[in-house]
Amino acid sequence: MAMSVNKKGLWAKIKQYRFAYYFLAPTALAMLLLHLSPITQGIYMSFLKLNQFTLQQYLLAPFVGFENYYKVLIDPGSPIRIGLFEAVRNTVIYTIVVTVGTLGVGMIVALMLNRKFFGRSLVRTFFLFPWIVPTYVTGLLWGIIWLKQGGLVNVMLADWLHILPFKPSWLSGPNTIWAIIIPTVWRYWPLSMLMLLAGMQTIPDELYEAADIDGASPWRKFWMITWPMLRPVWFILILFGLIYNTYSFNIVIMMFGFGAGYPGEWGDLMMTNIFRNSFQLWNFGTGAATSVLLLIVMIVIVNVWFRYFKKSEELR
Amino acid sequence: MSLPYYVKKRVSDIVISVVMLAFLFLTLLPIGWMIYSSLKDSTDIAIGKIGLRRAGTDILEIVPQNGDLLVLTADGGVNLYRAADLKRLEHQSYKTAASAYVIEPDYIWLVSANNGLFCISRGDFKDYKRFALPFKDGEVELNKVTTMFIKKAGRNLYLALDYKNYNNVFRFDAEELKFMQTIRNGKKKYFPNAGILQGGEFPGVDGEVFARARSNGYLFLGSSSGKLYKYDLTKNKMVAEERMPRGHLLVRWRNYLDMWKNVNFGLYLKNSLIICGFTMLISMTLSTMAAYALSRFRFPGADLFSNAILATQMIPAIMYLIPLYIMFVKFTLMSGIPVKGTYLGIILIYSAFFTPFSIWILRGFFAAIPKELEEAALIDGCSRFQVFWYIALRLAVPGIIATGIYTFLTAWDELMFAWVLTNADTMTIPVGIRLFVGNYQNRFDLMMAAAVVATLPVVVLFFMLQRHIVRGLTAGAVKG
Repeated sequence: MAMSVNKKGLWAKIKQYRFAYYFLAPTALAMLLLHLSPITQGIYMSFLKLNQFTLQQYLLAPFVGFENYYKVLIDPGSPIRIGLFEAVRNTVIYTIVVTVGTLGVGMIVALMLNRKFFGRSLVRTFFLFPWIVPTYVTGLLWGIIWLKQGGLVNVMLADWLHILPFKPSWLSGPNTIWAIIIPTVWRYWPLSMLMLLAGMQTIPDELYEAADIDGASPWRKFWMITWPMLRPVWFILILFGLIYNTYSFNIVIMMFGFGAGYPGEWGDLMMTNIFRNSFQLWNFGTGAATSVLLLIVMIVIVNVWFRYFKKSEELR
Repeated sequence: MSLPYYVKKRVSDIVISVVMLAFLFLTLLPIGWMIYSSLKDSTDIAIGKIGLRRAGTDILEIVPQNGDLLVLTADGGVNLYRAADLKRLEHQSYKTAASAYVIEPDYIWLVSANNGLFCISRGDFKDYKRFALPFKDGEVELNKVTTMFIKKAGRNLYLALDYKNYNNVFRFDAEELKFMQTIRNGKKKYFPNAGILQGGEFPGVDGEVFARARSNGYLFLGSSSGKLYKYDLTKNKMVAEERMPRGHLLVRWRNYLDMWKNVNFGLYLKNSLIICGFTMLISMTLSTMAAYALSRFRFPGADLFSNAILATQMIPAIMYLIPLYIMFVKFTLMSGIPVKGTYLGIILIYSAFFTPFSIWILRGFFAAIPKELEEAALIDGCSRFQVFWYIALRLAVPGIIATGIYTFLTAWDELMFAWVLTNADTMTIPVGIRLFVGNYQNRFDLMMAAAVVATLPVVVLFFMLQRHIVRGLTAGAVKG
């Protein structure tokens, strides 16, 4: 595209920009070696019958075509399907709720912080605290906070405030999905808050003053000024939120059985499911096939999101 | 409606501030809970006892002396009470656990699990000498010792403790004031009644009676509930009772020591620092160069590269895991250079993994630097590299610091790759904690201590560089 406009040949252009290529070379090499090469192998693996018996042969393991995909997607009797539906369902719920939750909580707190008051930067720093706690510690810590008998949540809700008539079990049954969503939101919202706050500070005051003169309510001011002006920020936040939360691993693995146990049918995510299939059931081939399918879904989602963004950008 | 504008604004401001502070409290609560729990007893965490436990004030000994009573309690409390009305005259607490006493005319010997042996003057309770018990290192977990025993025979004191199968007895020479030897006693317990305090019931006494003393027609009783009773033997009724002063709070700093002993935390910390530090350095070098090239030049392949960067973020990390593992093993087989389980291997992988995202952030910073500056420098005769080195790099420092710290934090957080690609010598903190926690599933106290220690380094780092992080990350965000 660009080349047709430019009169110079490709080689001349490359020569002209050789400085840029020098600068890019080490990264490109690293990416070829440690991204492209393993990912190609990973995709190829998904077509192999790779389990604990054939792992020694690795890429020379018997080629089975789409059998792994058949096992994951269609074959109702394959052991790999056990728990797969639950993992997909949980991942969808988890990703959407966590992404929206971090954005929502971050937005509310950013709005509260976006005023002039004494000790503002100190409060903001304190709000950033959960974000510094490593995710494996988050999983560990909340695993204890959710304990049935002695956990902080049950003690507070049942013993002190008497909101709950009994102490529910958070780490088993359908409650589990909340037991993993809430810590994740707790861990990640400060980053959203920080970025949204920075975005808010670039919105010119004149816009709000004009709205005030027109007698707009705060609610209307938010949706007509703040939200659209923050578009570049929440676009990125939702994009990376979707990607990273789909691939969430540490919190769940540390909260349930510390890597050895099964998080339960309401706590299992795609990543823990694939990890268990690959490293505990030794089904590397089907594990790779599931990963590839996940990757395809992710590419579709990201593309849809970009397209939506471009479209709405043009409409503005 | 009739309120003036500024009053409404003021009220809403206050309401928002209150809500905000309440939310801040809720946000920090889990972290506070983590630190607080790390100082508690494991069973207290499990049963949901919120307050810290206090030392029990069971009365162990009552000795009448010239119309007063010497009352000794299990928390190391040495008290003097007036016998007539049970008024407290003197009180000194030695804050000991599993205490046991021997009373002599001039001295009180107090032996304890946590603080060793005390020799306390009966004239002045504040006057004491302390002797540490001669344990071998790591032989006994002192906070698990439930009871201690002490006996005086001739000039020697014999000390023993109730702990698992430990049945050594210490001999302490009370005249030379030093531990003479340890008596190994085979399978036989030295004190046959060890572990059982001989208590008894008494009508009207709350708890078991451990100590009795008779004086001037009165019976004095000390109970396990920490109460002192005065019983009139002629009228057969209780005439007075008095509660002991409350025991000290049991803050278990020992959890950290125990955790440190059980986990090779020093090694993990060193590994994590080395791996994350080098990852940060390499990744920042690569990404600074690449981001500069991408933000300054529209060269053929720039778009492809940008898309490749975003694409790497979409790949589930687990897809890399097996290929990289096998690549490492094969590389070692071919070249003889060990990669799996070495610093080199994991640093390489981390650097490659965190570079794309760093490029993504840093590109915005370089794009924000005015091109005119660089053009002017080029006209003045700077080479391309000099322009990068002396102008662009200097101006992008805040962004580079912020991105570097972000990389460091992400690497600090990484569990899956470290789990598979490190070995016992190069294990990082997340892997170490996972292993430790798997082995000590019921020791919630030690888990929380480990969690606090794992969080501490990043908190320190964050506080040192807080300004840069906030400024850098927010600047990047605004530019998109």
